[in-house]
Amino acid sequence: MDATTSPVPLAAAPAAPAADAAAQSAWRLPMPAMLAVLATLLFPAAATWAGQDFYIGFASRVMIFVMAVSSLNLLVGYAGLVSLGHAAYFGFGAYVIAMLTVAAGKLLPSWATSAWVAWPLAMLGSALLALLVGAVALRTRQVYFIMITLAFSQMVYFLFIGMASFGSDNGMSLPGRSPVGLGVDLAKDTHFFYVVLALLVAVLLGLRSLVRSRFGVIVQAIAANESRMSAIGFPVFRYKLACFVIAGAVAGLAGALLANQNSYVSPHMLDWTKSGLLLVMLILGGAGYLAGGIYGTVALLVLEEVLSSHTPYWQAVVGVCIVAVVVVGNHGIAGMFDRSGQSSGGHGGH
Amino acid sequence: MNAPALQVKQLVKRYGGVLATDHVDLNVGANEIHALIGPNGAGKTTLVHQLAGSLASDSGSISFHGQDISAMPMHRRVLAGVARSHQVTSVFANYSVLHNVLLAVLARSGSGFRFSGSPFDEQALVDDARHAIALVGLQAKEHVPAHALSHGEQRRVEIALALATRPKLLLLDEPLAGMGPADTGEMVALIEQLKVHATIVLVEHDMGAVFRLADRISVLVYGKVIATDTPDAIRSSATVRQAYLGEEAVH
Repeated sequence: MDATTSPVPLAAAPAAPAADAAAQSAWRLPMPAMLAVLATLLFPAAATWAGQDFYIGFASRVMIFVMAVSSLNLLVGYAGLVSLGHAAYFGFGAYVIAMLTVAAGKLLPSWATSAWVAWPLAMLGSALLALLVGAVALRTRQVYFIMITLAFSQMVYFLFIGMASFGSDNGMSLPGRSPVGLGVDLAKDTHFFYVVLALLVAVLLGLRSLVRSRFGVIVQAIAANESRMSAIGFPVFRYKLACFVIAGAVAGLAGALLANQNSYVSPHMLDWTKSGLLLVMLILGGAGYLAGGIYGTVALLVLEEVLSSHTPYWQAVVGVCIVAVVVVGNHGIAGMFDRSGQSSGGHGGH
Repeated sequence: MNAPALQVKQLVKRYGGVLATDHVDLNVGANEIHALIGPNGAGKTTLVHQLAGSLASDSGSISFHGQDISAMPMHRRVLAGVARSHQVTSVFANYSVLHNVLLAVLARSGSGFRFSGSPFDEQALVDDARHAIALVGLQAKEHVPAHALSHGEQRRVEIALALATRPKLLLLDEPLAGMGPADTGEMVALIEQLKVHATIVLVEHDMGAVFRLADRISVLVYGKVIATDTPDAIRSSATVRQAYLGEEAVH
């Protein structure tokens, strides 16, 4: 029984909090974040002006993965729960969209495919899946937990591979993106971009609020010393499960968006290499830092996009970059910025 | 005698064929300091684990102020007023003293499932934490990370963590472990002050401290309570001396 071990090495240890406990508004962001949001807002216009409309879709894809990786960040970076099965909730959200599309007009009313209905349902579906898996998996620790999350994820993967009504191994095309109404047409890449951006900002602000809140402080303390938190009087299982479900729900939303982005779902969205990819993006970016999900995802996807057109060995280059970042310090890209004095918020402090 | 605050009846814990806790009876009065002494392996820590709720007994009962807590899981017992300090310091090394104690206060302060607003901004919580920190005399070190404290100071944070839950029953598991004479003196004075606030069950090997602090002492040998009496009676008991105190130097 361990009383003082830190969580699995992949998670960042909480740093001593700042001595100044002054209140910080959840809505006021540090300057770099404000600039990043502004730059992103202007991106579609800039891309169109430069004649590179294709990259609007690419940027949407990047943001969707940022959302998924950020949901994993809550688990790995803050709760110390290394999940190697997170793609299951990402993919399941996408499949909920597919299921609603197939059922609409027959078992369900046609408005079931509306974004207002389908996307919350995707979140709910992934949340329920996470609840079921977490209720079992969270009774284990460390390596066993990693293996069990992987195992459950593979079960869901094979379940969908076997589903002929959704195209089995080949996956299934969707007729179009979710209808939204209100003059918004997601078929237009620019509209879709802004909707994804709005949702991503909401998720990141929510994550920021959560890690500073009672819930976040408790969860991080559980990651630091679970048996002590139990002795202090917290029902630690409940908190870990809640974290697992929240992370699953957000991943489900990201999955619904990806299904829209590609107008396509496939079981391969769920397989373990996708779980591994999410984890790599997170570690590269810096688990336990709010911006960690952003840095790692952007770095990996941009590198992939830029390098793959120049060399078939782009994965080797990316691999070297990852190793370099890990060797420099074990807190990813965000950790490198932090060392130079500029904290990106979160990371165990307040 | 008034109804005991803590009543343990015929408590049993088996490990394979070994009786770690052998039909133990214990009666502790309110605001009494009751010491548990005995040789290593006698089952003192096992008993404390059962009182705290981190170990389930095989049979017997534990009641606290008339309420049967035998089946309660640990977090419910904390809410019922039972708190425990650890034999091996188990504070949050990277967190400040305030952060450490605030966590203990949080456990008793309503729902932890709040997703906005920092607990460090909640004045009531911070005040409660500061109160516990002041009780152990660490006000000046509020923002120091626990790993930077001396061993004695860390043991005091241990106590503050237990006190922050406003316990009515305080289980102190070797609070003096590893302490030099100066630290020991301070800790003994602290425990004496705490008597006013709670009933205390104290497990200790430091006999000088035990005889100074305890109102009554129970002697545990091979899982069995062989004697329960006042310090003077225990000190002069031939049975106890033979079983335990005999070779020990009393300082």
